[in-house]
Amino acid sequence: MTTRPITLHAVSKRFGSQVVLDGLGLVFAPATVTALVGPNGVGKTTVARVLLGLERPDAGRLEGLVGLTKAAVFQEDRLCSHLDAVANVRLVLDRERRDEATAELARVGLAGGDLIKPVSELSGGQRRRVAIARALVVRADLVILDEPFTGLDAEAKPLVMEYVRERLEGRTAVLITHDPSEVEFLGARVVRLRKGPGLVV
Amino acid sequence: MTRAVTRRIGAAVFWLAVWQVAAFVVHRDFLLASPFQVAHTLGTLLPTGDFWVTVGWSLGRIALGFTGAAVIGSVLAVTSAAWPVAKALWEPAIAAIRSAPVVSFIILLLLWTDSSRLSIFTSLLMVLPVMYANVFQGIQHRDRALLEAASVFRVPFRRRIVAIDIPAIVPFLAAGCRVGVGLAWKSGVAAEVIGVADGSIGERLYEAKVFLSSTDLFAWTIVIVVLSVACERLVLRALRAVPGPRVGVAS
Repeated sequence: MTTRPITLHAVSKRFGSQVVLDGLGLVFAPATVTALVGPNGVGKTTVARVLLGLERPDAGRLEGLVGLTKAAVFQEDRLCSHLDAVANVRLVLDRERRDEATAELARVGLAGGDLIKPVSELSGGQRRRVAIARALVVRADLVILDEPFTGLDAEAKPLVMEYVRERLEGRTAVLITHDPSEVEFLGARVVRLRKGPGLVV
Repeated sequence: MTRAVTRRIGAAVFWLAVWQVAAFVVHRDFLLASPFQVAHTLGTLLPTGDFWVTVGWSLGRIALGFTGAAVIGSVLAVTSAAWPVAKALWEPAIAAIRSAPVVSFIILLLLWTDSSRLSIFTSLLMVLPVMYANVFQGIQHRDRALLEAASVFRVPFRRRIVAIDIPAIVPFLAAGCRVGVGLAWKSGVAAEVIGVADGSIGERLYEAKVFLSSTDLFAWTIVIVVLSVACERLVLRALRAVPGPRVGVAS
């Protein structure tokens, strides 16, 4: 668990001719859920990818990320389709914690036969739950949640949201969402991104 | 019996009839033996120990050449994917091997080694570019999103290999094996014929030519086709045992 804030200093990122981030300054408080909101194409996912180390900024500086362990619920599930739910969760767990996978999946409502079939045979909502359990079973310092509840049915969503809220307690997390109720439920601090240069939050 | 099987048997019967009619029209055994004569020759060959020793001789060497190509091709492909310098080094050599006529290799290898090892090296060299290209393509086609997730979660190297890399490469490896097994047999036997390798299937084909025996030629050709198909099935079955998506690994 980190006690340091994570700071983006004047971060810029372009893809070809398209400028996605233009001198963005942003501070993520430790042990806090920060919600990035804003219209599509404003760079929310790019910020998340920069934080995860998947994109290198063209300009600017990152602070507070060195040595942090990270976990993410990506926009897509990104699961090994031929493996079952338990194997997908075990893939990210240390050897001594491998037995925790089944219990963790039970927390998001997956049990019995659903645990032992390839995830390609699960429904979209079930796969989403596996992806969420995989991200939160890891005791990561920084958790990125990119539209995590998309695809969940009305029955499963409250259970999963409660699970996420509990698991995020005391952790630094970034939530990307278009749904204000998710922001409110997780008690997130809201950062509204907009297009244009020099946004400092 | 399914309709597809019936259709396949029908096609086989049709071509056997065409062959029989052609043999009847030609009416010279040494030019074109009939299917019945070939079947009779196969019937007399199969129970003899000599036949199985000959099959074992060629099978062992060609299988060794194919396996060598699969292993070396895979290692070269992995190094090419990992280091651009390795790719720059291997690719011209692979391109040269791919483009050079098989007989050039056979003659060159005859200068370097004796005919008993000729089929090993010839099949290895012919299959190597296929295995290299396919494994390299498999590596390039790994799921980038999944690899990103693995790097974020710091999935240990060995687990990533087993869960992500190998399942992605296997369909491409299977496609390479499907082409490679046939190529190994064709080039391997060609090398045995040119080198007149003692005790090999190639030597039997050479004798068929010397004694103008199209019956033996057809019989041994059928043996080669059966061995090639059996090897292909065996290799694909082994690859099907590897966990992962089944795309491209035919049943």
